[in-house]
Amino acid sequence: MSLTASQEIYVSRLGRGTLGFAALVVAVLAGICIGETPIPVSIVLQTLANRIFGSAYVLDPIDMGVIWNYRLPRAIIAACCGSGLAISGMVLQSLLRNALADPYLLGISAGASTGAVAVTVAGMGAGAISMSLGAFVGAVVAFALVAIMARAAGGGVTLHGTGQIVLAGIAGSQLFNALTSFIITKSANAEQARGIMFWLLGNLSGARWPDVWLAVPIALVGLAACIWYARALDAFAFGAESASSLGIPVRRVQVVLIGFTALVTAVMVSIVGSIGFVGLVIPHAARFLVGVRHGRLGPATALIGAVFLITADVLSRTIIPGQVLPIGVITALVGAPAFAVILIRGRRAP
Amino acid sequence: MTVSSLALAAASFAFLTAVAAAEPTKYPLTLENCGETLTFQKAPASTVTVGQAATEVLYSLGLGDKVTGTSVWFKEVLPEFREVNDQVERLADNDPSFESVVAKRPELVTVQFIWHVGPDGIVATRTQFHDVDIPTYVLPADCVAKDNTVGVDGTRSELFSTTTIHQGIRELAQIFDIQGKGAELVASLAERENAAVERAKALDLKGVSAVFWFSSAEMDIDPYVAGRKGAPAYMMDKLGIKNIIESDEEWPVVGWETIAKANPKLIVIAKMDRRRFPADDYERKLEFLKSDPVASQMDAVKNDRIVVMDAHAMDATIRTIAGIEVLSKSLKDFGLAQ
Amino acid sequence: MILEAHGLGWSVRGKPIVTGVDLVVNEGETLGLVGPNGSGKSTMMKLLAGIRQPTSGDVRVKGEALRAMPRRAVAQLIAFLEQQAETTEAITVKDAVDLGRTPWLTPLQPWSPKDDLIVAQALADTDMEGFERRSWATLSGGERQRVHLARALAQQPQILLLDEPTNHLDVQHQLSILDLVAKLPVTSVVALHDLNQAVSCDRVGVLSGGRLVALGPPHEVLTVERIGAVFGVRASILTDPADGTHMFRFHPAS
Repeated sequence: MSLTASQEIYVSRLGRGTLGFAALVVAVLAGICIGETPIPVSIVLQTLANRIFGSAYVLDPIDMGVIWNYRLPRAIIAACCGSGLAISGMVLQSLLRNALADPYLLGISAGASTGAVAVTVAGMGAGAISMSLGAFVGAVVAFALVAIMARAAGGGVTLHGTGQIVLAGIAGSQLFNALTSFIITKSANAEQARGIMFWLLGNLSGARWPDVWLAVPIALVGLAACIWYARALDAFAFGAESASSLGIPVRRVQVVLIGFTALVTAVMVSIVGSIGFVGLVIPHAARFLVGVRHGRLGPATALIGAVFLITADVLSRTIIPGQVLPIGVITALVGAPAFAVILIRGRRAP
Repeated sequence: MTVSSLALAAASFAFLTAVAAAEPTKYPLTLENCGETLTFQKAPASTVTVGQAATEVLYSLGLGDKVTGTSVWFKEVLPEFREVNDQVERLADNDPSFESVVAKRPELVTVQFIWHVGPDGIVATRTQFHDVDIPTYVLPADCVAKDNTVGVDGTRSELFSTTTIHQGIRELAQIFDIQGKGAELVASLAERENAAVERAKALDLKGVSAVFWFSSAEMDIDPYVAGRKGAPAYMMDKLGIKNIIESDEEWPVVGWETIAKANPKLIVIAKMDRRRFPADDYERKLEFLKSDPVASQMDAVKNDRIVVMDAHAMDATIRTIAGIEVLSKSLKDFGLAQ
Repeated sequence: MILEAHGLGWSVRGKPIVTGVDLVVNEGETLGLVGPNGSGKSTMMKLLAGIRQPTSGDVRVKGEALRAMPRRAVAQLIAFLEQQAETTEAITVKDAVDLGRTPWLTPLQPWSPKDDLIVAQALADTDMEGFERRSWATLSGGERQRVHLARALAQQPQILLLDEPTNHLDVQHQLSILDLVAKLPVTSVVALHDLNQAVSCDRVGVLSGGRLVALGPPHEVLTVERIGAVFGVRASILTDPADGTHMFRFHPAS
């Protein structure tokens, strides 16, 4: 019995989906097996068996705790942040029709950092609002400011305005990073600059189960929104007016999707600090692999982002023995050259 | 000869050397200080301090009346100096501006941390002060065998020792021509230290390990802990405790996974007035240790062997000696004797 | 009376671009819009498509106010071919034409084989069969224009709004596309540059300085006097010996 064309497509999609999911599982396993200290794989597996299947292997409680309470949530958070930031980057790139759009580059991450620091360090809101909410407000304010700046500079969402929004984003990032430093410096006693770098470079070491219960739903909501709006995002290929003539309520879609982007970015930043280049590079890698249709691109971007950030986290813990590099350093080391490639390719494009 | 009589002998030797050195300073006085050569024609009539440790050393030497301005405060002044300190203007809680220091027309600026006045000094560089004929003296504890260009808080090439604190006291005493007072202070600090060390030695400790937790940028995040060359490392070394951290940085960031797996016998947590991070509060540190699913499994937490120590004692200051005393007493209280 | 405009106006920063246009488009007709550069043709088309909101007056489709309709409902009725719609995305011809089905799909009503047939027909109608897998970046200007038209056709609209659809096209494709539009059982409004192409429309509207200065059958509207007044050229009318239709030849006014 031969398969019809659409069945073949279905099978190949199923195959690719399975492959992608397997890659994610392997990455998570690597994240649990590789850490600061060596723990034999057999103990890792026994711990998982104890916790998931209720087995009763006798294990050192510290080993078990490290695997179940540190490494596993850390890997899951890395996956959520990777996919959340990558999805955010993809949505911004499509909506703004700008290959360089990314929550980090457009100042959203910097704004989220400022918001989070304003709540935790400067005590704004007097404990009534959470750090995530502060980060969200910061993210939205930063993006609004960058959008206004870009618009005033004649940019906006046209093909010709690509430069302006990136420049405005850089200016916005600088402003909000300066504000973050200002808040920290102002409210601190005389003490060295320990810890400021956390917000600027990202750090996954604080990942625990309660964060997982926040990160997983947010990452899934981000992915769901982007799948739900996949056709709308496709319709932006020829610009906002073209999308409008294809029946897309442009303003509403922009507001909703940018809102989701700000939410996802803000929550991720409030958990791990701001991690650059994931949102910029991963969507391009995904486009290269599965094409530009958002129905496929969204899940692929999320998956690659998740695997990428888990891998980057494992590298950050192992590349220099006995020392943990900030994860932002790893993503930048991969991302900056990729950024250059995108710029050069963009120049060559007709 | 018993151990305690040995300590007594050491202390009296220190006292004897102190008395021997107690003669008036000959001016012009020239001395090397953290890479700069300083020359004094006479004892400075006034000084401004940058750094609480510098302030407290001068107060300990009875030079409170010479101090015309203070800055960079980490916590309340030691209670015995409260009265003296009330008479002195506080230029800034944090970093003072160059002009506010110069405006006091001090004949000396006494500095705790090199990063306030080093090549990238946030107050000013030493050259800037020297250009307006104000000498700067940096406490040797922050520059002897220490590279301040490596790591966030600098990196020591040799284990810190209280001898650099003694050196700072002696040199300041020399500059201000009160060498007798300086020798006395050094002798009493050395005596306290030796006594604390002897008490610990009497416990005949075996296999005791520890970690010093200063703070963390976020409650659950990798904490700042004491490296193996700073003041806490010196305390542990002197008292026969193994430091589980193997970094040369002053306050490296080390993961809880590494700490938990090393499973130290005791944990020393810093108590400070600073509230930049939630973990600055020692109560929050205790709470974390008891509630974190992994940290709570460590022997030190299970057996409640947690020492709360003045954070300023963990920096290279005269309070370091009090830190040694606290740690030595805790070893006994925890019943770690063999 | 499928599409009508009443007192339609649009201005930017106080400068009027389109002013007081009253226009009724009849079902099934092909209406040509002509006018010199800057006369407001493109703005007029965007207002009729509803992707720009008028600053005065309104547009009605089948009696219903355009601004009150959901974009999706509008897109099921009206397809709009923009001038110079470009992309830097690495999309294929098929991807671009598939977009035309957007107003008919929802997440719960996904792509079906029927949509494949409609897209294939649109590609055939625009002579773009066999180009499906070609990437956008490799297409010529004329091919891109035909893909855009195919996308508009895939929308299966009742009204086609085409802003200078013959731009970039070679002579053969200019003719075949105009012929196709004329034969389609839809109402179309076509902004045109070439007055000779406007002659074959059912009716012609002339825009000048943002106002509709004439509207009617081509031979009534496109007179030598009006062409002189609106376009600033001297026109002479020739008769094609092949089929007896009139055509214009232009000379500098002096």
